[in-house]
Amino acid sequence: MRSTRSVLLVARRELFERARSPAFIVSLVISVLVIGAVVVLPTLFAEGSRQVALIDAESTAMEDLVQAEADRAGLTVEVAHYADLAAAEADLQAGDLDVVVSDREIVWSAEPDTELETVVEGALFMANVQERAAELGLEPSAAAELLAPADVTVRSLEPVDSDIEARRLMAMVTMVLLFMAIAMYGAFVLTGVVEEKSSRVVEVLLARVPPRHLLAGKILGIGVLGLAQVAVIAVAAAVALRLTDDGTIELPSISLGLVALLLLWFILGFAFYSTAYGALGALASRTEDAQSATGPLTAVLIGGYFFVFVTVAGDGAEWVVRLATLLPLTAPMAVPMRAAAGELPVWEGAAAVVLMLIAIYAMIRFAGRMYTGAVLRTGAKVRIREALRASSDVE
Amino acid sequence: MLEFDGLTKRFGPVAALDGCTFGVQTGRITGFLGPNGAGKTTAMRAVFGLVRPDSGQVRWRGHPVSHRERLRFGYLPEERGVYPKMRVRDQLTYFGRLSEMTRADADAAADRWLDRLGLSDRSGDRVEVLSHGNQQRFQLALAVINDPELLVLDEPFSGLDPLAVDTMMELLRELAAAGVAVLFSSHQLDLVEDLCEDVVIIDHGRVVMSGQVRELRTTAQHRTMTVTVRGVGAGWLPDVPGVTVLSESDGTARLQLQRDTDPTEVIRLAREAGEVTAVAYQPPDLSELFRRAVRS
Repeated sequence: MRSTRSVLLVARRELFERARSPAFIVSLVISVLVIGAVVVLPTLFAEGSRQVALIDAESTAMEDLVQAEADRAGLTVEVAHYADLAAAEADLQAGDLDVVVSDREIVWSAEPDTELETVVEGALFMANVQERAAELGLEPSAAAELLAPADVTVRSLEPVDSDIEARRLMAMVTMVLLFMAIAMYGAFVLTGVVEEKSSRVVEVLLARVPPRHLLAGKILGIGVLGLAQVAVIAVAAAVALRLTDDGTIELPSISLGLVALLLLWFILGFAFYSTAYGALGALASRTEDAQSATGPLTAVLIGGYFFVFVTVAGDGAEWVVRLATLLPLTAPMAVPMRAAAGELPVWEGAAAVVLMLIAIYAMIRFAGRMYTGAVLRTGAKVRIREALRASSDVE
Repeated sequence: MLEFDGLTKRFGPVAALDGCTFGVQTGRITGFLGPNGAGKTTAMRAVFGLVRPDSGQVRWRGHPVSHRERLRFGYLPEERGVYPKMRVRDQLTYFGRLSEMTRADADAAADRWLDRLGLSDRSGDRVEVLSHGNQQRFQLALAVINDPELLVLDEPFSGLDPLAVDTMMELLRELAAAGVAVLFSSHQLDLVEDLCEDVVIIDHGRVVMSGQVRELRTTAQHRTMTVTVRGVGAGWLPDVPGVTVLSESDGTARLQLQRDTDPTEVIRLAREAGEVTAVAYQPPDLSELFRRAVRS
């Protein structure tokens, strides 16, 4: 009971002192704004309907062809009829029109809009074909028969995942998110440890709290803060999507299971890496030394990220992908990614969790000793071996 | 009572503590003296489990000190650390709660100590914006926030201005009068002599002298004597058994006498030499005891 109490007190301080610091609030507001902007801005700049001017078109035949082609291309097109080319060009110049189509002539204001160009050229081609068909004596209905698409059924040998692209994108976002969250909150733990050491408050603390509780509380408090921040950003993104959703945004089916998996692996990855960061941070007495003390660990984390990026997201051999999944250094990034892409066998996921838990336990034992041995030693940077040996000097 | 019983601690080839044994009485102030590197900080850290002795034991009221006892101790380390960005009252409450006080008790203690140390109007400020003097008072408040039964202070007077020294002395006296056992280390021997009933002097990790200051002085094997004689040249005092001349200038001689040497014999010789204008005869002061204890 006693140990939980002091761990929770330490965690509570980390959580509230950080949450109320101006730097944290500013960074949270900025990240919410950035997320909002990323979601909202594209819809603001999304082009509305294109304005197409038709010259001398008495009948609606040409207009129907343009609309049919636009539907096929997924564009919204409004057609205006002009009697006079000069008037249409004036409006094109003024920016009220996107393109002017006269008899066999397409006029742009400057660079052609490639999407619209396809539509207009398609419509002209169809008009041309219909005209020649009439010249050859075909009835319009016969001409339509001639041009009807072939009646072909399409099938695949393996089941088709209709939103595989969206899921792959989701998987990539998931991996990047976890990598960034682990790196960022790992750095929080690191600076927290170094600050306590460089301000010498750690000796006053350790007279009241055993070193392991201090490290555990710090990791717990910062971890909860990290989860809360990820949650706030996720909610902000969801709200922004809801506000701007006009039915055109295709979201991959995100199951609750995937969200739970993401949170689980944030916790596992954070627990593993931040414990290591905390222990290595204890080796340094000053912030300047902290970077060099944790350099190898950061290299491992970034190396793991690229390894996962190249093998799992890329086209690594099956055994390499499996290695990245099971190896605790890379699992926090590889597992959620493969799960999001729907490519993770259950047994591999379960094995990865078990191995990760073992690795976390070993890391806590090892890092706890290192932290204990190093945190009261000031002056020059402490070596890992010295720290482990000195851990028996402290109760 | 706090007892150090045969503490030994080696750091590699260095013996920081070498069978260190002494006690600290409740309701009294004990000065802990020794040259730099004598092992004072190591001994104090051992009280708080920050150093695990190779052998020996620290006991409080007869029980080996564990985490449970330490929650009722207060500690002001030599490097007085604080959280610079945390608010004054929040920080006091936090440390109170780490000593297992309830929230209400910790809040009440924080307000009481802020009031006692004149920091009440700074309770919402971050510690880093306090003046140097106020930061020192705040550090002291952190050490005593749990109303400790034992207070250990490592060099509490270093860096303090004379007024802060007075405040600190007053507070330590007050705590001792309330029954707290106080142990502090210092190099300012005049201050220790003013403040302490008991002193412990260690050197190379061993206690070389300990006891009540008054008793140590009176039972010392020698006395100091200063005699001023007008209008005499150097060497006016002939050799007397049991008397050593420490220094002599302008007719003033500083002498060291064996405890059983009769000072009136020196005075008689001085009057024969010339007109005696001043005589002082007293037990050795603490700095002399210290020098003799550490030198031998």
